Amino acid sequence: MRKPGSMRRCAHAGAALLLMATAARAGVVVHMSARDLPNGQAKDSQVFYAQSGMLRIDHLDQQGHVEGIQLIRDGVIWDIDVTKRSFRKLDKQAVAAQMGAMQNKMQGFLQNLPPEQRAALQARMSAMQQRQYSVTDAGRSERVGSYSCEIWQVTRAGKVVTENCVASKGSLKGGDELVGAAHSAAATATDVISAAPQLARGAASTLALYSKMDGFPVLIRDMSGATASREEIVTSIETQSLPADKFAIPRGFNEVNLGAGGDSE
Amino acid sequence: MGSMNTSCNWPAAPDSIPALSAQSGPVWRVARSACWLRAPGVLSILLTAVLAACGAKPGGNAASSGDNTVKPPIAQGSSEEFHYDDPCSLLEPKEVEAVFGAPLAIPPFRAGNSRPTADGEDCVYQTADFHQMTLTVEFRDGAQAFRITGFGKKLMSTAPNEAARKALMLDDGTELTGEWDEAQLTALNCCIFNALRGDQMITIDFTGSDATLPQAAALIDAAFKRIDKPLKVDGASAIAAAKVFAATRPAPRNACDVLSRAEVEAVIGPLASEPKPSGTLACSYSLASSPGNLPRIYELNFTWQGGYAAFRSDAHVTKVGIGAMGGAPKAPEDALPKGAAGDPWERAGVESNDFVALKKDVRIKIDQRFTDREKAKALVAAAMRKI
Repeated sequence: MRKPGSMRRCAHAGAALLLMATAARAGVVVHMSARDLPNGQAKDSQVFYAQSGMLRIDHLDQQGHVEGIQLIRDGVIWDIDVTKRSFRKLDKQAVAAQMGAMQNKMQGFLQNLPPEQRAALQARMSAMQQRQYSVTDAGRSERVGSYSCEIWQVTRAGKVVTENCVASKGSLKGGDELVGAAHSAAATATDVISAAPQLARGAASTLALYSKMDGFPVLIRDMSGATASREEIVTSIETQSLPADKFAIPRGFNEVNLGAGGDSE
Repeated sequence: MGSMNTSCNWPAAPDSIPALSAQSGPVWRVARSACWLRAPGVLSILLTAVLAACGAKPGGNAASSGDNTVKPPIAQGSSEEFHYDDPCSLLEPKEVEAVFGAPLAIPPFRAGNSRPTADGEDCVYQTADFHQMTLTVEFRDGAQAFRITGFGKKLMSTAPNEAARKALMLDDGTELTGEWDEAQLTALNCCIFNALRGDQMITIDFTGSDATLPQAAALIDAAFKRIDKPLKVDGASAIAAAKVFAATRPAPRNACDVLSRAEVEAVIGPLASEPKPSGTLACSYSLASSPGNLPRIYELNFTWQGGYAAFRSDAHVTKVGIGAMGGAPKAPEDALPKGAAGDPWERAGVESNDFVALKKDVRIKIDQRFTDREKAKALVAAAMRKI
């Protein structure tokens, strides 16, 4: 078992790959539950597994069964549809190809539209691209279970869409491992997203501001105006050695193209 | 993956442009598929921790951007982690084979709407000649489903009373009991048995087999006994095999293409006109009629898939109908004798006004009235040889 803090915090790509290849390292398992506000019943919603720079996010259905997984490793996001027994590869190349195809189709649609409709749609798309997320420190703190955390607000078009309460990594069990894996995952996500200029533009400012934070959100609150509509909180964090298969695509699952929507039928 | 989509702020497609709509628009679908990357909830989780640790620039550590050589990291072990709510995990295949009296052609597979589907709530068991049983499991909310199923029986005024709910009385006077709180047969069908225990319901449709109700009920009994500790039988793993096997079924074709005119005339005599098809379902052959006699028409009817079930179900409905009129029919479900060696069918015989033959789940029947019965039978035999 690796002792907390023994991993180099600023592992570069080569070191990260080396770490990923190392078996039986200590991993971190984070359980989250979600509930609709104000009176919804809390249910397990997501589980995060982090180890050796790899991150796996399980999305749970109403029964607590895994219905989907994002596996982020090796510079690729593997989007796994457990119910359909299929998976998709999301990397820069795949997203670029899809976006290229999308733009071609969009151009085709635009060319075939009457001028007024075309202008309206172009204006709408342009406005859409102007809307960017921003993240700001709300200057207040909260307590979520045993964690103290600082509130960061994500706003879009001047409206708060979520509040994230970030606990410092030093206060989290396995915080170094968790942050390290999330770091790698975010780098991958950033790289993948860069192939989609529309998405990248929206994320750029968010990324810049996130870089100021040093921790993990133990609470994510969806906002509807000034009212919170849903919240998701960390319910437990455990450290344990995770088997290599935890960060692999289950056997027997079929690969589908990015545009296939996960439907293997 | 609702948690992603709920926080996705990709704008709605303009309703006025159908090609861009959510239903059909490839453009929007692709955009939405990538949308989770910027969904605040996910992004915050991915990115909050990021950059924090060492202030790395976004994207700086992406290991192999655009590297098409990254192969899917496939697990070395089995995928039991995701094996739950599988209707195929409640019965040993050999238990089902014992009821069929024949081996399964392929492992049991999950299905939905009669199609192999990895997350289907049905488990289909098929023999090489396409005899079939389907086990459907409602792992939750079964009570509601059971009530809905029973609603039809109430309408038919044959709903069981309280005493009969737990133990169904068979025609021979024996009681059918098992690991259920309540059980019932679906109305107007011989062979769909539903059983409820707590809030879990198991249904077995054995219409497409020769199984008896006690045999089918015994399977449900066994399934309930395992429902809290299922087997490792993975019904999603046989989807590909099921699709391949389905392709080996006799393919439907134009009904009048099954036999040539010459082949028909060799059996029933010269036709008065060209055969008249009704798509793949039927073909009529008219013989020349002599003055003062009724025209003689031989019409072959085809059921290309589900022939076993169609026969058994039709026979049951006939039995119910005759019973309702005060008749005392024999058990028509058992009416078709097995074919002898060299016969072109698996089973064949007279049912009501028809001569019926079954093979590979295909049913061919002919209305014998106003025909020469031997010729009618011979015509069915000729058609069956082409299946």
